[in-house]
Amino acid sequence: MTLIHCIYASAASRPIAERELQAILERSRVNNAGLDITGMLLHVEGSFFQVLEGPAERVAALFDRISQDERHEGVVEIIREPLPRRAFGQWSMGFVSARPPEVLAAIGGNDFFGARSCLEGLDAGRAKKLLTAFARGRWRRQSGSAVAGA
Amino acid sequence: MAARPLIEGTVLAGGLPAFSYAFQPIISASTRTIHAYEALVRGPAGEGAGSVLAGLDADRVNVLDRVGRPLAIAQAARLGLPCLLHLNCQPHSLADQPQDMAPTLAAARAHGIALERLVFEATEDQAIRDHDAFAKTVNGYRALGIKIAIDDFGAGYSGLNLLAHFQPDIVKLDLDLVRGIASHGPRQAIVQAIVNACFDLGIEVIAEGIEGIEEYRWLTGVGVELFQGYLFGRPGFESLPGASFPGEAATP
Ligand SMILES: Cc1cc2nc3c(=O)[nH]c(=O)nc-3n(C[C@H](O)[C@H](O)[C@H](O)COP(=O)(O)O)c2cc1C
Repeated sequence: MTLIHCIYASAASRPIAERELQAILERSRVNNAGLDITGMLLHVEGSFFQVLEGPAERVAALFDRISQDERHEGVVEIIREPLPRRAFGQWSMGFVSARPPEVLAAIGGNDFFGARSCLEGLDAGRAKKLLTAFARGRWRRQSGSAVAGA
Repeated sequence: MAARPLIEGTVLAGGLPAFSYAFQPIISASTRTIHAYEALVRGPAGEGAGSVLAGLDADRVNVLDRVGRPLAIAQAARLGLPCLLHLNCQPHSLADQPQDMAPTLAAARAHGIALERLVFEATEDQAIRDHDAFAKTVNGYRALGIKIAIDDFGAGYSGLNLLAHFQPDIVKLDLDLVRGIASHGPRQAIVQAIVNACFDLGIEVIAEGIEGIEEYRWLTGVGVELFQGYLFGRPGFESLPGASFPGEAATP
């Protein structure tokens, strides 16, 4: 089956507690591992950015399920396309919650979060470019009024 | 992949004039390195592309396109290609006839050039009416790791609306958009819009045909990172020439 990634952005429906995020992640890691899905979730100031990679149909089904989740809103699919190889192959769901400069530093090769971060050593490719755009304010969703930042 | 006759044999069988390749650097403004070379068709003694293509009908241009790419790959490999290689593709050989690509893929394997180092450049022209079908085929190459660049972006049929159907890895700005941009408001507005859309979608932008430092400065100012043109280096016949990097415009 074709390997694809689906990358989207969304906004937390209401301020989300650290504990709640951890609960989402724990479920995600268990579910994704069973589905052969890998990826990462980035949380920046109430906005989400997620990369889901894996077999096309499973990614599509999971993305549909996630889109229905009422803990976030304004879900916008940015890209869905075939991939030669996974960018987050070792991560059933990598997670980073940080401020934009820290995200940019980590993507830029500064091992800001240490070698155990899913942003470490990321291939130059679509996921990395979109992460950069997101960290620079594009696609940043705000609860209620969702706009791609300038 | 089906085995193909030797390149030379195919050339003769296609009734083509003799031809070879020149390679022009594409540079990265921020790292000041050569990011890629584009293979450009030339006559056997380095004559311009026009001398080879003149008088060829569409069918023979397709044949040249098909048998030429493996030759360009072989030459680049022999010259010790250290970076990416851009190859021109008739949109029609890309979209309608995947088998036209088989010799190209085979040549890359035979010469040890990873598919991740190939960039297929296609012009999105009138010939492609069905964007979604084009996207589907082209995404098949992308699944192999080959990058796709849309040439002459912003001209004719190839505009921002294309990106609603298909998000290539790279777009090359149309020459006419870039010419004299430092002092031309409408071109600045259009290029700014293209650069913004590409940034939002994770698409790289290459500005080609750059001859003047003013164009280069304006384009680096809006975030364009990859450049091709006489300002940096002319095509080198059967060679991978070095490049020069404009001093003052170095990005930190
Ligand atoms: C921002 C966000 C990202 C999510 N990512 C995933 C994910 O990668 N995998 C997953 O299974 N669920 C994810 N979820 C949770 C799903 O929406 C859904 O609650 C969960 O899959 C249900 O799993 P369960 O049936 O095992 O309880 C995410 C939810 C949110 C709000």
